Amino acid sequence: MTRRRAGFLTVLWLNPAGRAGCVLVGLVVLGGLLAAVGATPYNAQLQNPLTTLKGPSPSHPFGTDQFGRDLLSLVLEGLWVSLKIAFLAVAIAGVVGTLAGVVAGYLGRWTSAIIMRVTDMLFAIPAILLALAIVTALGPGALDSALAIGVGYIPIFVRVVRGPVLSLRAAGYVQAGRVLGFSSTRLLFRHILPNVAGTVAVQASLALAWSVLAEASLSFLGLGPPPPTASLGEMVSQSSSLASQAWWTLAAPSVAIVVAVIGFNFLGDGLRDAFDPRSRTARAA
Amino acid sequence: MRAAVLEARDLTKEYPAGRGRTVRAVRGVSVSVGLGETLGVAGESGCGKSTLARLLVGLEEPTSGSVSLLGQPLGGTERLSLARRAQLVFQDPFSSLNPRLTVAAALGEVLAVHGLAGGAGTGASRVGGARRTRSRWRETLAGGRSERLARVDRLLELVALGPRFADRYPHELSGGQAQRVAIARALAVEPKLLVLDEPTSALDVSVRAEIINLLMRLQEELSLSYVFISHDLSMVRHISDRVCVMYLGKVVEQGSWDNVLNAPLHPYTKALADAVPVPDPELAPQRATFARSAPNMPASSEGPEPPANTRTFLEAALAAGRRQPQSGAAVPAGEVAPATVAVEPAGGCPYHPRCPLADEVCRSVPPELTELVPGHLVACHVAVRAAGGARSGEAGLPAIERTPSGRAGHQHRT
Repeated sequence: MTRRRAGFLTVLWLNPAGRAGCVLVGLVVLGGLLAAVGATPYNAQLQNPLTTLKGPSPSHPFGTDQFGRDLLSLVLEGLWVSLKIAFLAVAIAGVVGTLAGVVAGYLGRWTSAIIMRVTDMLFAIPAILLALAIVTALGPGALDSALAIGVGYIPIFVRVVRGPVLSLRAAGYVQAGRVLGFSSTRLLFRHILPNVAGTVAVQASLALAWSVLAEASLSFLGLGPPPPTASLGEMVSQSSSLASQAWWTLAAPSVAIVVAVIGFNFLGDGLRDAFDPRSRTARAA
Repeated sequence: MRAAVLEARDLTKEYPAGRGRTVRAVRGVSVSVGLGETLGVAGESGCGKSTLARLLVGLEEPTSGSVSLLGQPLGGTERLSLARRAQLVFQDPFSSLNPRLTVAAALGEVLAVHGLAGGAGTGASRVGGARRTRSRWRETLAGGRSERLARVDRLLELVALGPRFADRYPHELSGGQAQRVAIARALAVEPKLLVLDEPTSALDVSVRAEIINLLMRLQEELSLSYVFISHDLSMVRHISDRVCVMYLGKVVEQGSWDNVLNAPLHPYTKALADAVPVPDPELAPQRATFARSAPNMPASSEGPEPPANTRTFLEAALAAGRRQPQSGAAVPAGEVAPATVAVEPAGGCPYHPRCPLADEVCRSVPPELTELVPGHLVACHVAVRAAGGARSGEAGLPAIERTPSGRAGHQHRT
């Protein structure tokens, strides 16, 4: 008589968007990890005057750049740098934003008013402009880029979290919990936050997509981590003058960016469905 | 009288309503409930029933007045020990259950927080007042060893649900099942008092009787006290020992269910009693349809007039009343009439704008709760006068046909 219920990952996998997201993000993360452990096909920084600007071939699937470097290896390295910065940025934005949103939604009027006004002020400044300003102030570097991008996304998390918390605070089961003598901490972390977690996860996934883009934009403008660190944005910027003769120099980093952005977007959609507890039994039947 | 489990004195709750005004949701309500007794609270939507429920379990702080449970005042009580004296069952069972927790998880959490399973008896002995009845609870609940899951199963059994419901999510339950789980969760802390806020109104008619019967059986088995809040008098009649009728935040009539529902003294109670559907269609047209329009809703006078032969005298009186601006008499000229009467109740008796018996006294002097018949209190000038004038007469609402005012018929344009 026990009913079987599909696990979280199964539900995510059975969802078309979720599956596409998993595959693409898996591909991107796997590539990044290859670079991280130094398992790229070639040494990405190795210049070879004999192989400059060669098109895609079995030995160089993505072709080579004007210094004869293997583009696949470079893209993988750039991807890893991008992912590191994006994850760090989203971690900063997600943690700070969620906490601020929960506090603003759960606590009294004054705290809420102050947090929301600060959020509004941050919101008024375009994220990329804010990132530019911060990077200019802090100087280029992976950590600085992450901070610069993350700060810009804090208001989105605050907004996205505060609304549900505000309505969940008045939800019947939170009221019931209060009558049952549950502490505020318990109500917040066991009853309110899990019901916001889906929203946060979706938002985090989308923010990862934006962060990859933002990081590429910053390094395109020359404000990313300084060379010799590989960077997708910088590759795009350098290849723009070569694109007419060697299209692959532009295509390789661009495709990597697009795959990462689309993957994180799909993953967000899949997560949203998987976090809904109703989807579990429906699938298990 | 039996020992009081709940004693609420002069409870008032005000909410700010913007522009410096206040909504007085509950105004000077005093109620008490004895051991194993059910107090029915009846009244229409917006009369302050739910606010009263929240005040009684400490979910809201009263603006003034006091609540004491088992002899201990509610203010400043530690929340766990407070929780173990009184519990609240909500109207909508689905919104009162966390969608992410299975039945077992929801019940188990309560047991864990209160240290009621697994032997680590924190808090269990701290509640002095609840001690006397613990043995009784033991008999009923602690069938297995104090393991949490066994206890969850026992709780489910208590509300007539099998253990197979333990790992279901709320959305896998029917309305009646969900309400049973909500009741089981409230009972998990072994309270003395259950405040039931319209526990059946969100359910199918076919399930209501089951829940009511379950509540009555539980009351007998666990000697629980109930405050049963409903707008449905037939439900209140079925389950209550005593009844209190609320109107715009005030208790207008209070007494044994028999007195209040069978021989109502207040015209509002009479109207409520008449609103209970009569199963016999031949009898139905004869009863007076008393209060058609709520005071906080626009009067619906554009509807078709009922045929003349079915119109009672009372309807005519009401129709006449409806043509006057509601509570306009109480608002000074030049001021905008308040949108809801609850925001700024009219002077005098709160019911006077809708009452067919209202006179000048009713419009200016608020009536006090008066004990007309032993154990039967009413806040109505007309009823008090009638009882004072003709003591020998039957203790009921003065017959409306004898109302000496030609006002109603006169103002009714025919």
